[in-house]
Amino acid sequence: MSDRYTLVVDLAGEEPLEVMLPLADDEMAIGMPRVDEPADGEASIGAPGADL
Amino acid sequence: MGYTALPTKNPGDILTSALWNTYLQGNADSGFMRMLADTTLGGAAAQIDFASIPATFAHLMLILYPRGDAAAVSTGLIARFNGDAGANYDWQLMQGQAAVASAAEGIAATGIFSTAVPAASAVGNAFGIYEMLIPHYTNTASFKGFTGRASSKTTNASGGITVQGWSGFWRNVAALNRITLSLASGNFAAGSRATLYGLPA
Repeated sequence: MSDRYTLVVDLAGEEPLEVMLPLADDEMAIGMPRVDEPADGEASIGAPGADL
Repeated sequence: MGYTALPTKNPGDILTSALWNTYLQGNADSGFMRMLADTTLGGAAAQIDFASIPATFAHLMLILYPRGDAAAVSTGLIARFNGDAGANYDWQLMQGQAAVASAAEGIAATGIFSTAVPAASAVGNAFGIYEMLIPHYTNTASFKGFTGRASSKTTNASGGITVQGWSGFWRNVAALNRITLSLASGNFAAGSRATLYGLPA
């Protein structure tokens, strides 16, 4: 398990219930895209069609 | 379900349980636009996960005010439905930054992606601004998706403000009951806020 957490807002009850749960390693960053930071004066949001 | 028109009341009329249930409880559950959940992070969290979303409304709206703690100027926001992290999403965004317009897409992606979240290297006190509209979220005949707008401010210089229009689709006809938000890197920083609304028919 990691030391990262998920804030779960459970709406099943009459009042929303907020619980901080540890985030399992296999829930982290699954296939996260690479985001290239734009150079000064350049707009970049990653290569178009980037494989997310 | 939906909105029930409120009758005119006269002096001396009694608010019975039937009236309460129909005009107050019933309308609050599905007839009025109302807040379903509102959370502001007191500490960092990798995900914000709205679970067990009630199926009583016609549409959903999500407003997000995020900042990340990754060592970068900005990072990406990823939205997923019903806990599905498979390659079942398609998304498109277009962006303006200073005088430059650009666009990007993701096909068979593992989430719906946008890049307008200021992170730790952005100018201090700057958060992203997101709104997402999710129509007809309980139907079981067609794909779910959303359209929205996003903006971030990362510097005080030219090009420091990004504005995006974006949308995404989930290749699944299941009723939507959960929305999970995460970042491409790092955590949501303390002070990030997410509010989910139900919209009536």
